[in-house]
Amino acid sequence: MKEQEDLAATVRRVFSRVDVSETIEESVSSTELWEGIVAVEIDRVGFSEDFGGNGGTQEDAATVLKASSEFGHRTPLAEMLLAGWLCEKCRIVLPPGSGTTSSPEDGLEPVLHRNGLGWELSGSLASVPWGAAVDYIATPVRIGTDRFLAVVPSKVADVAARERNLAGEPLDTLRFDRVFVPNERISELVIDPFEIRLRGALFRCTQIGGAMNALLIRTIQYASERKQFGRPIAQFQAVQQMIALLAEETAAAMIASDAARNENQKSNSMAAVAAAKVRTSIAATKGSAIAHQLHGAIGLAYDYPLHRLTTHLWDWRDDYGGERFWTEQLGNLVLAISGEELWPSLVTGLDRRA
Amino acid sequence: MNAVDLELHAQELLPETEKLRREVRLFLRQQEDAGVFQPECDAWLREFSPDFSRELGRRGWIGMTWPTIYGGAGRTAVDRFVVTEELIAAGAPVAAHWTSDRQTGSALLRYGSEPQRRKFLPAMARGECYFAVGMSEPDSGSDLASIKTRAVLENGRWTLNGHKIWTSHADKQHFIVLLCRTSVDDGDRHVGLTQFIVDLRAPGISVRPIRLMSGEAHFNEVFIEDVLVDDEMRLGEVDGAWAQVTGELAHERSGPERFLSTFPLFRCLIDAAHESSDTAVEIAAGRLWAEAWVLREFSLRIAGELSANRVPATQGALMKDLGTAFERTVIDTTRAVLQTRPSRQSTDKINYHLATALLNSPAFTIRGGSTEILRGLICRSLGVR
Repeated sequence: MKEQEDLAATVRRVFSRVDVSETIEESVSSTELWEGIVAVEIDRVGFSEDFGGNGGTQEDAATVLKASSEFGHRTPLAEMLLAGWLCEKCRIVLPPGSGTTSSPEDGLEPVLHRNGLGWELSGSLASVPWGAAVDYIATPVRIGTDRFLAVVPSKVADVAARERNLAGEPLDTLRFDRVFVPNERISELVIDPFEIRLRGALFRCTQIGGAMNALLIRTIQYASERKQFGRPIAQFQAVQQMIALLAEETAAAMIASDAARNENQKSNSMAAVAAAKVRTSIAATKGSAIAHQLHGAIGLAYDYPLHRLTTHLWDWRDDYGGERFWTEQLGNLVLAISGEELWPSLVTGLDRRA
Repeated sequence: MNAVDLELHAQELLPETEKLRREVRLFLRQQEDAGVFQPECDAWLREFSPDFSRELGRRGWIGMTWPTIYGGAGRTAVDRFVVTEELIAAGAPVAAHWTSDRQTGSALLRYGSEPQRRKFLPAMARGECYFAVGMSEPDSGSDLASIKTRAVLENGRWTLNGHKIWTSHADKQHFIVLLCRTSVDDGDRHVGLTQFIVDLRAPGISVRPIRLMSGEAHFNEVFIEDVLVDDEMRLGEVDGAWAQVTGELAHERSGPERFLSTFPLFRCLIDAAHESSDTAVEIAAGRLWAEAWVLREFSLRIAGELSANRVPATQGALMKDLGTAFERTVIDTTRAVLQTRPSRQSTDKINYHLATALLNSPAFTIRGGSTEILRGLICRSLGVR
């Protein structure tokens, strides 16, 4: 569709103009890359202006994620769009500034206690993507035994631990010690926390698809230019066989994530997302291995951009549940049906939760 | 890299198409319950049943995309896809008319003469007239352009001499489309090939079944000795068959039979594992489902391309490689999670289907375009070389 093409073109323009290798040490807001993203308003795509968004659909959000993932950038863009989605679901505003999403394990959520005109948050959030580098964190919290969604300021938390994922993005463990949270930043958590993981998984499928596409283009280009034994390595059959496999995995990843977005949109299917996450994770594994093998030694170098795509693929295949988690979710549903129901389940879906 | 659409387009199936699907499912249920057929792996290639083909023809489920004036149903490639995926998933015996429906009909429509179309298509659509494909030879498999079967024109008639091999069901079918060399071009081997429609009972044709490692013999050798063919039975341009053949191959590669050959085994695995509390079985079943779901989506999107009159040769090759690898994964997964003892005589369905699947499995990645050849084709399409 034309609008999606235009949006993708806008995204590619932004990312082509800046140095995506820029490492964000302190705050995302101070970087040229994030400024560029904010300037075209793609950081708030897919949720309504009533909740701090720029409007647009989840399809628009997917277009932004897919196109931007081609560039191997390190920003909290996906986590920000996930926060926006979550805020809209729970009818709470995502304040101006940068944001991320946390999905703490059941029972480990930080806790709110009443304090005069508002609330105080105490507890920890483990391994929050970009936790200390953004302004707000959208996270499930507890009041007593009930769960709520809170949008909490991150800069006032203590950073208890700093880790990085394979791509070098921060995963910060934040500790809150009676941090003030006003009423308007708290809302009922109307969805099960599992749905946050599901949505995050769907986002990752889209990102894997975009990155695989870029990986394929880059690998073909490299193999066509790199000469050994008097000719481009792309002329060797062994290399061609591997490129074809990379193309197959890329096609599988792109189709899986597109189909999952459609099916989830239509029937709120969990199985479709689970299947796509499994398939894209497999594709990410096979694809990154082939790409590195064909690039030879230069692909290992930090200054050569290949690792920006492959480390993301390695991170994303595990984020929000890897193959182990989602194959079990699916397997649970598959083994509840008979052999005779197997084919219909592939055609009409394994679950329907709309 | 050349721009190749790897994502394709989602296909929204219309209510009429879903209604068609329900009719096919009901029919298959009735036929299976009446004992007319049992689900079989590779049934689309192995199980030859004129009765079953005629039943499908009666319902308008052969030649679905052909114009109605030729006995077809004038429906879309997506409609045909829905019918064929149901038939193949059910392991139904469609081998008699399969190649007629999948590729010969299209070839007649695109390249055949009007008399040929009128003579053959209605009987093919009725499920009464079956065509074999005569391409491969003992010395020409992947290198199809190297075939040596010759056709020489003399006094307005062609004399054919040669030897074809791996021709499914030629011993039982009515006609064969023979790819022959009609002239030699110094520059290009792809120039100088012509296809002919030949009656399999014609003088000079002899057919010898080939016994396979599975014990069955659906493949044949076809010996062609001074077979006389009228020019009216030439299919398409003299010396121009290469384009016809590559078009046929694209159709051949992109269908649901390219990932569903072992589906009856997959069904058995789910039945055997039903309500299993073994996590290994659970995650294996989940992974297979995920792969199958994506392959089916891929196959459907390719059907969408065909419906839009595009020929997705690259995507068909991509899908065939992925799909045929999956067919084997079903076998490997079954063995990995269950204790099995495959035997063609086993009364235990899973062991029976496992044996059939295994004994036919080497063919999955060879037939209809060897995997390694497909990968070369994929690379060329992407602009690599």
